[in-house]
Amino acid sequence: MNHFQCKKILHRCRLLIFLSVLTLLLSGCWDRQEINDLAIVLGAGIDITDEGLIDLSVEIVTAQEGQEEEQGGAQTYVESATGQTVVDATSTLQQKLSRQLFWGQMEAIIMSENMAREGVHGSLDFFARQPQTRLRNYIYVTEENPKEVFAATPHLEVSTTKTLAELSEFQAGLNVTTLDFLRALESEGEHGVLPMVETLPQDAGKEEEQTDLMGNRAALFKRDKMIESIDMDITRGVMWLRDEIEGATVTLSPERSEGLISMYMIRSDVNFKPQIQGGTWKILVEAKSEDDIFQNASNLDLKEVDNVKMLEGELATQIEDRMRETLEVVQQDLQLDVFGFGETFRRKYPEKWDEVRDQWDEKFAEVEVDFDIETIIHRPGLSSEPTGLPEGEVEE
Amino acid sequence: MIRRFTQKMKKSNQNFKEETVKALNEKEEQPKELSIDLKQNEEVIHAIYDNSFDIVIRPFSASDGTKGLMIYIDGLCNTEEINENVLTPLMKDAELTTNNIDTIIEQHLTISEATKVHTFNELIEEVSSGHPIILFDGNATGCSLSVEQFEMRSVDEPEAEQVVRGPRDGFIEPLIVNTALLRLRIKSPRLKIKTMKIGIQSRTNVAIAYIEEVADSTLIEEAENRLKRIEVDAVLESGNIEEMIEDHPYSPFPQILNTERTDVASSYLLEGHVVILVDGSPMALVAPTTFYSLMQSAEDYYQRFLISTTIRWLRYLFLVIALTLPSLYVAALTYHHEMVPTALMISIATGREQIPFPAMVEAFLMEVIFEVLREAGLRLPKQIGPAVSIVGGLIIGEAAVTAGIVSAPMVIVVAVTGVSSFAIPRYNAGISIRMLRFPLLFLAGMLGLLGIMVGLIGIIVHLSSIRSFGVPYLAPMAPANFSDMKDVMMRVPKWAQNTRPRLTGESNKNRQSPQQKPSPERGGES
Repeated sequence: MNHFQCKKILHRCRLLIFLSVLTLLLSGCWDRQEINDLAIVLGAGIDITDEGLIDLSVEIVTAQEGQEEEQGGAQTYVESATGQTVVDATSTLQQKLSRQLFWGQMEAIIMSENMAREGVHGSLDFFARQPQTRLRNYIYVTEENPKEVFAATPHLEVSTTKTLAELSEFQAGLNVTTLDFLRALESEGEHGVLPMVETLPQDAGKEEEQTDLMGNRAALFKRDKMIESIDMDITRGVMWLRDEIEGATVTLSPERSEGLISMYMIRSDVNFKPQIQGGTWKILVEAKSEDDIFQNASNLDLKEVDNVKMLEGELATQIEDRMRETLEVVQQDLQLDVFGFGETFRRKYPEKWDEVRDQWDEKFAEVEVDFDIETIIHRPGLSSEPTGLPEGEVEE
Repeated sequence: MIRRFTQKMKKSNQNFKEETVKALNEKEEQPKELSIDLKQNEEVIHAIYDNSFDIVIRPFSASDGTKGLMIYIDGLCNTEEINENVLTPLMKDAELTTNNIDTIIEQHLTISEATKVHTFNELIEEVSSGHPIILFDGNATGCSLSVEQFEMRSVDEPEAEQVVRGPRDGFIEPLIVNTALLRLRIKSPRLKIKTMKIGIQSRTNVAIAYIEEVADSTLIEEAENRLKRIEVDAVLESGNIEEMIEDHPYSPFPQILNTERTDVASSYLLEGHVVILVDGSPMALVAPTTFYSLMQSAEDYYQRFLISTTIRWLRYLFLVIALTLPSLYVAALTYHHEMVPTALMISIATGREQIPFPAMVEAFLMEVIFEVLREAGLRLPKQIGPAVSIVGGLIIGEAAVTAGIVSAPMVIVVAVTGVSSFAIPRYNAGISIRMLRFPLLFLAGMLGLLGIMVGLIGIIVHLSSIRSFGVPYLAPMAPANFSDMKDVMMRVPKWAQNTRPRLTGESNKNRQSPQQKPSPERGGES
């Protein structure tokens, strides 16, 4: 090793020491946050008090190890606070907690109906603006106090929020995330629709302290204000038209026979074809549904192709009836475009859309809707003939 | 203080230089050439081998009456052969004349190899190699006899690089056995093995093996030059050589591959690499080396190619896991809580509830304990080794979780990381990856994912900037060479490996005939 190399190494050593000292000046770890110092929010509920204050309630995980070993999951509890805005309520809430509120794992937002009727965009702004929250959480409206929904102790899941998220993912009811809802609010040709959730009354065979949840109704919005709630049947229709239906069962009573046949839909697809002819705005709803027979309580022999063809036809009629019924309520009575008809017109006829964009709600009510429904029945199941019927009684 | 340190370094540097010069000069003080006078030679030899009980200096009388002298090191040569084939003919043969060494070698010595020596330096070297020297009065030329025999272990399975399918012979300590093992695999006379002696005190034989017309001549020259530059007192293992000839001494990555396997060394020879063998070391050095060759195992080439390719991909995956998993865990837990799926987050939070340390300290603690366990298990006598793993693995792991010092997920992370790092076939590459984990962990604890990215970018920049004997370390990925990726992204079947890697085997591109893909139609084709 010669003198020159020595010097070079020395120079490097000096540089390294210098740089190491410099790092001490850096304020590292500034947003470091240990998991133990977090109050993980699973769900948030927003209500409005009689004085017009925001009542924010949150479902928080209590990570207690002792209980974890027995139950294989965490416990949750509900804490709430009021304030002029959501953030205001948050800061009051924070004062009641020994740990930092953490919104990053939030999976559901529940808004009370009172709150929804007043207008929601102001409150939702907090969740959209806050970098922590995922916009992929589900959002609901409830007629009850959100605290009561959170207080529900479902049988199957550990928390209310978990139940809601699973319900939505299972597509039993509408499945709307905050992001979807905010988009619908911002869109000109579409109105928002949110699923409604309610606690189920006590029933035989259930433990008394446990309550379950159900969410098969829906709340319709005009801009950011809730207008009306619709019942389960109409909600299913809305889901059909929004192409959100999945795993539905349809029961019909075939004409040529006695008894009922239940089918399970395995796949469906709904498309809108907008058309403007002269002054009339038309929309063609193209629906396709693929089904399996799940139960044959009639005396129809499903080996016969004709019988299956007939069933397919009746299924199509049933789907069309369901959609027409829905349109009657939503299009004619409420005049709320929650299906996105406006969007499809805007895409195809941007110039004509510009003319009606301000009066779309009135124009929407005038849109003529036609249906083109294709149904396919794939599998009759293991036994093609009705089970438990003598051969003579089977309709071929 | 630093100044004093450098002065000291300079001083010691000078001292060493003076000493080495002195060591060389010592020999120069003695007469260089052997003298005609046996008495004088004997005195010089006695002076050289002063206080060395293992040196045997045996005077004898040849059958023609001349005085003779035999010098050898006890334990390095076969004394039976000396008795029968050297001393017996010299002392009994009737028509022996000692004034011509050549005739003695030709007519009287019944041993296979004998050479003449003229100087004392030659004499010392021959004696140290186990070759007895005979000198005669009145003759200034000595004779060295190749009857060396010393204790060595047998050729057995390399312990550091085991395979299920593949040859079981590994290099052992004596150079001569190792070169013979190479010759056994590559019988072509194009396999050249040059030797040189390195180390002023140790005079270690170092051999450079290459295949003529396959290896680049500039590479051979470069390797020779680097070896010639070495001026140390001793070479005890090939690791000593490796550190003296590598391109980037401060890099954490090994730039010269070492292998104990003869088949691995041969395959690299056939790809145009240079293999350096060091006497007394079972580890052969292979240069140049790329990052990807550290991820290859000998067995990759003996298994069927689909399996080898899958396993290779698994290795790349484990490489990434071994390097980043603990830091990703720490980053996700201290900065990016929203990244973890909710259910997992809750179960981790529950597990961590009682832990008094921040995640980074916890990870650091466990990783250090793991490294200590590994090191301790490695160095202990074989009988105590299992005890360490019981105490370490079972008791510390289990008890630490129960006592609430570390969380169970952390134990899993550390265990997965440890196992992953062992999936890297080259032990030294695995170690460098494991060591790089610590700075990465520190960065993750300080800056989160940003820190990990900074660290990874640093590592990748470093990897792509270094070279090994002129070959870019990340070749053939960067610079990209699609044809060479056949042995990196996957291991193509033998019948498709028609060309040698471009960067080492350019001068002799084709290694086999093309179109050798077997198929049922070709069954009877001759």
